[in-house]
Amino acid sequence: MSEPTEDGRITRRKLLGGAAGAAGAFAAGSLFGPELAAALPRRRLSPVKIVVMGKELSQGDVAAFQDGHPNIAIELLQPDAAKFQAMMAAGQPPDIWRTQAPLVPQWAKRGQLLNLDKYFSQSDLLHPADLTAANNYYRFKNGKIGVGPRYGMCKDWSPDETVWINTDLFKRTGIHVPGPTDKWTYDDLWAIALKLKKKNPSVKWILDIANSYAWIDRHVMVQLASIGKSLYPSDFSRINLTNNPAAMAAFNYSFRYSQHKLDLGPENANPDGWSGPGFVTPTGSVAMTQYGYWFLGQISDTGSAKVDARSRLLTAPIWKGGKHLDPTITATGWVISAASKNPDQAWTVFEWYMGGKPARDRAGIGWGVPAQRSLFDRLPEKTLVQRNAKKTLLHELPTANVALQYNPYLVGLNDNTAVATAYQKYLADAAKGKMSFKDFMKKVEADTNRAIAVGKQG
Amino acid sequence: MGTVETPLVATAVKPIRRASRRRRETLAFYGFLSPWLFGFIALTSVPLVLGFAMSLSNLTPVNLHTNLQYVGSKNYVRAYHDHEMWYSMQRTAILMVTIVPLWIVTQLGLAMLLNAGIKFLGLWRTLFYVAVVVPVVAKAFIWKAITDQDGGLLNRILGALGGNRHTDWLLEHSTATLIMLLLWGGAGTGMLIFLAGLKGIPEELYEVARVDGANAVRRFVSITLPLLTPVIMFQLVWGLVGAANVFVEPILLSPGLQSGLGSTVPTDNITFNIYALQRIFGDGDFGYGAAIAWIFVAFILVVTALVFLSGRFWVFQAKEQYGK
Amino acid sequence: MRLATEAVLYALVLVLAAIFVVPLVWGFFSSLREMHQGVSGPVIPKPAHWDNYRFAWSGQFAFTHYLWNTVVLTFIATVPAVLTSALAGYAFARIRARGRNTFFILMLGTTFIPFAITFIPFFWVIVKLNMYSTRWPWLIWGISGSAFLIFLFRQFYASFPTDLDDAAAMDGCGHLRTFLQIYLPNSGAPLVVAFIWLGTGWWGEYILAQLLLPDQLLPLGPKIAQGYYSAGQEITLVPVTLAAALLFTVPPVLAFLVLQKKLTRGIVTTGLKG
Repeated sequence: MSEPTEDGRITRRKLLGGAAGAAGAFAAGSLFGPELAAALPRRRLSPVKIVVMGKELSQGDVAAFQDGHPNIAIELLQPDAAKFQAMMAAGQPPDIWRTQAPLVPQWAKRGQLLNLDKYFSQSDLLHPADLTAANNYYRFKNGKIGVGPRYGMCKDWSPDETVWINTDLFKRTGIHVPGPTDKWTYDDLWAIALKLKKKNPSVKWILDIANSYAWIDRHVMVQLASIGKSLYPSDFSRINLTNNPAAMAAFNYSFRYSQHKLDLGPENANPDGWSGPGFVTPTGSVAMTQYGYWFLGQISDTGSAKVDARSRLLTAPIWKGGKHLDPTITATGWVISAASKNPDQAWTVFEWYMGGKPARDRAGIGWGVPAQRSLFDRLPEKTLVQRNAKKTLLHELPTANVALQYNPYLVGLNDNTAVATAYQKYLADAAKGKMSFKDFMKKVEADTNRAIAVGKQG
Repeated sequence: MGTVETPLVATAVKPIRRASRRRRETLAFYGFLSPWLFGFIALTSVPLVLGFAMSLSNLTPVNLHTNLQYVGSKNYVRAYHDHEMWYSMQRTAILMVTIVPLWIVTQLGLAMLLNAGIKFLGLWRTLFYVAVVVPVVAKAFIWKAITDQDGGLLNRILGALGGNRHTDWLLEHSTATLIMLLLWGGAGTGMLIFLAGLKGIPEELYEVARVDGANAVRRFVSITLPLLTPVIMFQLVWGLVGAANVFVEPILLSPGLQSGLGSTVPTDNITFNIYALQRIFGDGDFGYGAAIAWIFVAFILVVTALVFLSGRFWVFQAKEQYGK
Repeated sequence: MRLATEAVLYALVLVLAAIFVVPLVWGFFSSLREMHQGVSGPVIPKPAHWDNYRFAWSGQFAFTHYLWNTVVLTFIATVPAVLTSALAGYAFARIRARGRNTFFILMLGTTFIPFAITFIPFFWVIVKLNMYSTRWPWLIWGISGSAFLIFLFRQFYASFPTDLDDAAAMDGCGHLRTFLQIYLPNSGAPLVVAFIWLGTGWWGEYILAQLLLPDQLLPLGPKIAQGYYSAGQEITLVPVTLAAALLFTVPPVLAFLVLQKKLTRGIVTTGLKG
């Protein structure tokens, strides 16, 4: 880990600033804010503050970090899209923020992210050769994702198109459920879902698609990529939807689940807002959820042998006429701001979170696949479901090396892109039959194109 | 401001004295007003002008120095065709016409109860008013606890009465939940103002009416209500403006465990302010957000102007007016 | 007959008072439930988890740090505002000058301007002035006063007996001395109203602080709005969050209880009734 240094430069600058300050600045400084307070001479060197807007980092971890790095203070901010925009507009973005794959290109394209290649090449903890393909989502060059400098990395990832299934709910239905490494198709999935609804009507939620559609565009992009198609033209100037039969077919596939109330959707709402708790309750109210490997964490955390025994991870279904593809659609991770005043210290925090103890701890708990291959031997294998999930994972790994090309003009900090937001917004009316599928898609297209137009304004 | 302290000195020539006195008065007036004037310029005038300029531009959080352009009326045209903007205006209007009468009836009702010669007046007044000083964040968490789907007070009562004990208040009855919170937290101040108004009505009027054989209803309709119309007008205008500007409460009342700007406000609770803020801080579309904020200004001005004008027909005009 | 009317009256007051107080009581009960439990369980939690209050005070974040921030922000936004509003109120009520009526109407007009329209440009202004992430905007809001309070003071001063002014003028007082020596010392009622209204408002303020301040300067409002979490997991501890919210509520309620008689009298005497 790079050694944080006592930075004499900062002290001198603060001293000079203090001397230049007015005499009354003391009262004002302590009352009005850090800038003035920082301008005053101090005996003790105050730690460099690194602002992190993110979650999945406990106060305990932060405290442990600060014990080892007295010169760096971490200020943890809850993710808040509005506050983030305000900070961006003010020219004071967080030093580090948490994000997901589809959001990275917007900032990379505008030069708002710090090029980390220099740091990676000097790091003892993080080696580019050790990084899995999922980290390529944090590379960007000339409008293309997956190549060029690294602007961040994922904290963990997962082949996200794999499907979790509660085998208990399929007992005595006579429905054949595929094994952990069996090949199957989206048509199979549809047939199974329909049959289960008929044979076991007590199951309230059959399938959670794309995190209740928050990730629907990413999900569709995987289906399209498997047949060599795309949602956007190469210049990303619009979304190709109503003029794009392949995309219409992919969206329509998911939409049918809403029409038949097989999903966790507006017509079949789940009080938890996601399928996690319903999947692991003793009775199990959710039959299948297409979350990916990381959901193993939720299952393991219950500590229930029963939930353990009944849960099974299946490979990603194959889209009609396509090849087997299972990239991550989340790649949740961190980026560092190009505007950070303390990039070295920000990197120290980054390096610790991604390559230090927190990373090693994360690798063993099942909430996602480690970002480094060298941590793979920490993947949990204590229980049957963990061992089986690892089997599925290893089977899927070779098909995960694809970098989907997300649209750099869809901006914001929310996990939902404008496409997903629009889809969720109009889905209820469409599913109720208040508008045709075509009109539904027209609305999604219009909203998305408007968002792209805004994004193109820079 | 120190300029006004010169004592009045009798001078020989009267007209000169009067002129200098007037100048001194003017100086004193603007001196006294200067802190507010500073704020009026910094917080209102300059932002209004800048905001109007923004509404004619394509400003985003990051394009100030790179791609800022004049786009003319484009943002306004877009707003005209924006159904969601009209929907948020409709929801704001619904909120205004619901909460304001509820406020006024509750406030006046409580004030009349307290004015009926009741014992322990201070206690009751305190209990009715205390919600006003509860911070909005605490209000929101309390109402989330009351409307909780599993075990919230409202669902317990509903269950006991044979209703649906798992009603999703925050999502499916979001406006009703919001109105309950606003009614609870916003009635106290108006109650005190109405109480002050009631105390200002001379007791003799009632006595004369009683002698004439007017019953309680009659006395209310022909004495209390007419004499309170200026207060009602006051409460009506402040209430409408307050209701139009509601936006922190719906944000804090959004379903889910966290509160905050980042959370999802149910469509029915997206008031005009929230819609503008979402365009600005959600989409990063500062220009468009500013344009719809201006449309909102026009809306509020029209509504309040209409209310003021209507006053000619129903507000009781006594001797009181501005400026002595 | 008269007794019956009284009985109905008291019953009505009792029921209505209960309706107004029950939310607070329910919030209090809910704050005593088991930390991870949400709001389910018996109406009166048994056992009562008073530990939630200790956890709210010292568990997740330094409550006292944010409490101090709240005090500072409330102070710099409230105290100057009350004084400058009184000054402006006096000017509108007592000083004749060209433009007085125009500015009075403009002043009232500012209250009709929605938040979104002025906030965003103001936001850019403070960014350009390097005041983002600082408390300076709160002082600006403080100095600028509040249109509502100015109106309050104007109404109050307009009903002041004018012979006081005449006496002061006889003694050779300028407006500032008249204001400081005669008007301000006799402004107890509107001052109480002003401090309670503006002070409790700033105390609980949420959105400006959330958008403009870094975490270390945040007041309790936005801090508590984030909710208390169980370590590492994304589970909000509802009872603890409520405990924190109620602790946050204590100071303004106390201030109100202490001053409530004066508040009521203030509203009666300031002639806010129109």
